[in-house]
Amino acid sequence: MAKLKFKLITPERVLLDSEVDSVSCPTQMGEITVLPHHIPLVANLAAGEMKVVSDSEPRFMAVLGGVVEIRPGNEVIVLADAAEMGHEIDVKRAEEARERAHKIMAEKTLSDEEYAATAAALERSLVRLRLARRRKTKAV
Amino acid sequence: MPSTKEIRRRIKSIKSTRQITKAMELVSAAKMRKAQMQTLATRAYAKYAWQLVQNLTVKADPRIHALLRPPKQNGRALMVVMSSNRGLIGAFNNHITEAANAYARKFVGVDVITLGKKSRDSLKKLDFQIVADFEKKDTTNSVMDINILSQMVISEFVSGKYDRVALVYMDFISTLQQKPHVLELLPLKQPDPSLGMMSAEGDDEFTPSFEDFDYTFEPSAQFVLEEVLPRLTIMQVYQALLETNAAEHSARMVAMKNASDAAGDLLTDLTLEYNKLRQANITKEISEIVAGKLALTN
Repeated sequence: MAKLKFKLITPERVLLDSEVDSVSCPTQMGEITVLPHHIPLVANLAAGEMKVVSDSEPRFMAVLGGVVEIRPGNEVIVLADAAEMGHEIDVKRAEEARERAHKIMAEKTLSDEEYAATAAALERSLVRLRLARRRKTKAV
Repeated sequence: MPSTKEIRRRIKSIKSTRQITKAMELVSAAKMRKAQMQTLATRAYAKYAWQLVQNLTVKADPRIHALLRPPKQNGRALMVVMSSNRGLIGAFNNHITEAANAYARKFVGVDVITLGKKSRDSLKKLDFQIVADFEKKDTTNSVMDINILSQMVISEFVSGKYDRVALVYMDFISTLQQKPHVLELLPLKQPDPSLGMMSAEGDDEFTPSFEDFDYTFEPSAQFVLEEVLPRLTIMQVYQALLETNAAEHSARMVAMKNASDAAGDLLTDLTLEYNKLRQANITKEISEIVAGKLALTN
């Protein structure tokens, strides 16, 4: 069966560059799953969790916005603003970040810009936590 | 013939200069490593982002987004020139100024935005119209650092004030090699796609495929381009800044290393001269004493 050439790239590093069977990612229109021979597509990503499956072995990643490009020739390129592999997520840090963002939003009156930044931070921490928790329940 | 005292003084002063250049070399080396790592880490992103933009510009209707608008004849151009803040860096900033000057000659009206003190000063001397000067921080840590600059560039272009926007920056090729590079940033649709490529990428053979395929856009072309194009534009500016930083620290380290080496050579020469002179003085004194003694015994 044809494989997808999958690349997950953030401004900081190349997170993943491998051949996989399928990619599920959260777009602004909802989650899509890409299989080989998908038509060329460009879609905006939403913050959420991403799943790649290779040899029926799923791997999870948290992505926080960006864009996915599917090129002809089974190439899938995800340019994410930020992304983390599931096992890299520091639950404690994410928890703290969520607390902090909650607090800031509750206490201060914020300018639009600050509000957007804090809301984004909150969303990020929530995505991380959700993913980390799911992995935990799976391991048990 | 200088006296031994004078030579000793020169040796001392050269030694202390060498200490300074050595220290600066080490500082630059540390900064260079960090800047190089940053640059290389972002390159993959910048490369694929640029490929995506080129793919999109081939497929998408230029009327759909302002950043794709093709340039008019004889329109005004805007140059964003990046340089270092400080000197002691060899011909680094001269090369950038030259590249900017050469590019500017192609157009009638060129305005300049500078990032870094050195390019501001030299371009001012050349009577360029500098519309904005941004302070360049010593280290660049996130895209936010150039956010205001990028927003300004994009909005000026969208408003139609300028027909082209170019980045002039130093391309980091290796520690020993940097090349000034002019990247035509906007409009994103280039007649020659290789013009915009980062020359240091290595694989310049990438050309947008004109194969018979169309992208599906989700939610819609307009929406996707609205989101993607400004972001990818900013990314190119960011990458250019990182390249410049890496190149700057590399160039300074090499310049300082050369200075330290030259100081070392000079010291060897002077020490030799000093020893010769000292020897000559001692010989002279001995022969004087012997001559004096001979005169007395006779």
